[in-house]
Amino acid sequence: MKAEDEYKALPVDDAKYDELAPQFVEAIKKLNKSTVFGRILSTSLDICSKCGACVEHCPIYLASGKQRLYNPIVRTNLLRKLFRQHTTPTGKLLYTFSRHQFEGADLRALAESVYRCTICRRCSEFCTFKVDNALIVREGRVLLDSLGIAPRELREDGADKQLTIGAATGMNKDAFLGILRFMEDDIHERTGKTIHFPVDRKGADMLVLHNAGDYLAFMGDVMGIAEVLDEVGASWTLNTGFNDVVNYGLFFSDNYLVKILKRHCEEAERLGVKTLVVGECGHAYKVLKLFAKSVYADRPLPFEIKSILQVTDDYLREGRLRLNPERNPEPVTYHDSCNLGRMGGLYEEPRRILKASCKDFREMRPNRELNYCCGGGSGFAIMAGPAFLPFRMKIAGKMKVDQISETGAKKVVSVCSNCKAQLRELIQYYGLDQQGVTFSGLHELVANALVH
Amino acid sequence: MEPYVVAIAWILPYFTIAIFVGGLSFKSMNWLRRRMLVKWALYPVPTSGPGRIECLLVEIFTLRSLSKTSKGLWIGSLTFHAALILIILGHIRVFSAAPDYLMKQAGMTSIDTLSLVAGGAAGLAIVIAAVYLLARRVSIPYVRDISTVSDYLDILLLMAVFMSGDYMRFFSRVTLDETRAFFMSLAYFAPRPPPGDPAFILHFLVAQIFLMYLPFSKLVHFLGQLVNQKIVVTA
Repeated sequence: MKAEDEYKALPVDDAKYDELAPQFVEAIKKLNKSTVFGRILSTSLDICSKCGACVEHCPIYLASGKQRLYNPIVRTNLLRKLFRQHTTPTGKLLYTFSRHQFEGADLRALAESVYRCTICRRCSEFCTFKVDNALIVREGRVLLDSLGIAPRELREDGADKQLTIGAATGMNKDAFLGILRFMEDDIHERTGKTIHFPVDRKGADMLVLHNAGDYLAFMGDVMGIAEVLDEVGASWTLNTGFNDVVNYGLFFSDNYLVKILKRHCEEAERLGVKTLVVGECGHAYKVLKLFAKSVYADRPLPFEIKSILQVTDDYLREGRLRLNPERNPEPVTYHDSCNLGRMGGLYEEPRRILKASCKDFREMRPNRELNYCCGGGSGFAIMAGPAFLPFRMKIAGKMKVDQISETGAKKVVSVCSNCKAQLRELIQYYGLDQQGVTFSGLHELVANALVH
Repeated sequence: MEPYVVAIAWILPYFTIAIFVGGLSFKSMNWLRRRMLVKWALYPVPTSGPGRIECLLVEIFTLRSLSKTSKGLWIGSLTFHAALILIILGHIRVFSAAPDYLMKQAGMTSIDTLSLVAGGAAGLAIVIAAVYLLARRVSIPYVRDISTVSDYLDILLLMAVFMSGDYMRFFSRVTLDETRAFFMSLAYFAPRPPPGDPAFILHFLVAQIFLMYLPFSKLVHFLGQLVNQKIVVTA
């Protein structure tokens, strides 16, 4: 029976796993005690009936050709079994006669396994008890991180860099301002409009925080958002300093999650804004929406949290934006990001905006809460690992590619940087670009349809 | 009375009750005292309080999420649990004459026939459903892959309880008067001899083992899911 695959997400050698295995067993005893999700984690570990209802709905399991290794419950059973064995009376009893010691190889298999799940939570949709397998995986990653096991892309090159420089991309203030000037010129050339990107404007209504990767990779959406806000005459600002909205802590560490979250809140308070608007980023919206409140234990949240989707949708409803869908004539389809959809509830906002800006909108199937993850979720989109990229392309993203092809759409739209990065690579890897398929963020299309 | 009958019928029941109630309380407290600092909805969720309760009840009584996946699992589980509810309701008659009295007051005369038909059918249906669920676990590769020793133990224990119960109902002469008198005496801590048929002792023993085991198995899902469902429908 194969316990591991040929891919590798973690830069950890076998000697390290051997050394850490006993510590992991100790750590597992505290699994549900330290986390802020302790309640749903405990029930999820206790009550899964192993009925298998969820298994055939996991995009990774399906795309792998139904390999046992990628069965979502085989994965959570690794943690469930250890947890039962070391913390429950029946577990202790049942495993009394078990000779098997938890060894380095077991830890390696477990550690790599929790980095084969995109934490998309699709499985829970099919569970009558709503067992949260995704959360079990996430908390497994948190335990591993507490022992120093985490992907370099998320910890050293991601969260650490963000906390020292302000952006996980490593972009400093001068580079940032340079990019803003470049975008101002670009908007002027395309539309003839002169837009000045407001920076560090105290007392503005809205602070817009983008995924810093967008300033480099998906500038069209950063410019699109600026054009929309400028069109309605909104009072808004960007910021220098801590201006990357990503919070990779969500994917692997509570410690980083809180540290980064606090910095975001400080920025909003420093500028005294009424609303912190999250740009086209899925996980960041979820983190801020759910956790920002807990930063202010003694008083209510001093600002509101919104996704740019809600802001633009409001402008549309209020009739403050005039859009001409003829400007975007090619067929488009929308990819629901897990963090905006299943975990954020923003299903209709992007669809209303898309239908107003594009002539030919097509749903992919399944969609909304049953949509397949792009395969880049939970940080995968930026991970290449020691040998991880082939997994992300061949397996994690395969269902998505099939789904996109079936729509016949020429543009795949997503409102999540993570998804966009993954979609961009998938389109190339599977040669969809040969058939004229491209990806796009939402606001690039909105801006293109804007009638001034 | 034989010593083993004394042990099973007079002593064990008090342990059973204590372990069952204590175990369920322990489990529930263990869940509820854990932190849940953030809302963790699985969208879409109902926006109103009554909507949430409706959503929860529909899930519990129709297993809606399972209907989205394998129809066999859905129908098998529904049959199993519907029969289980009937059996649990029917067992009130084993302990007390109150249901009979109330139903007579309501003008129903053929209580025993109703019990025989509905109870008998449920007793058979639940064994068939249990066999189906076990067969499914063994025969579908991806379900076999996720099954552990405890999963087989759970279903086999349940089947032992159901089959011993069915045997007693269809092939023995245990009467309700006997069982009521016995359980009343247990309740008053003045145990009287149990029904003399070995089928009763067998069923009573297996059922007690099951009840003591239940709080520590995945079968606490009947309670635990309430905790989960409340979390995921609240935004």
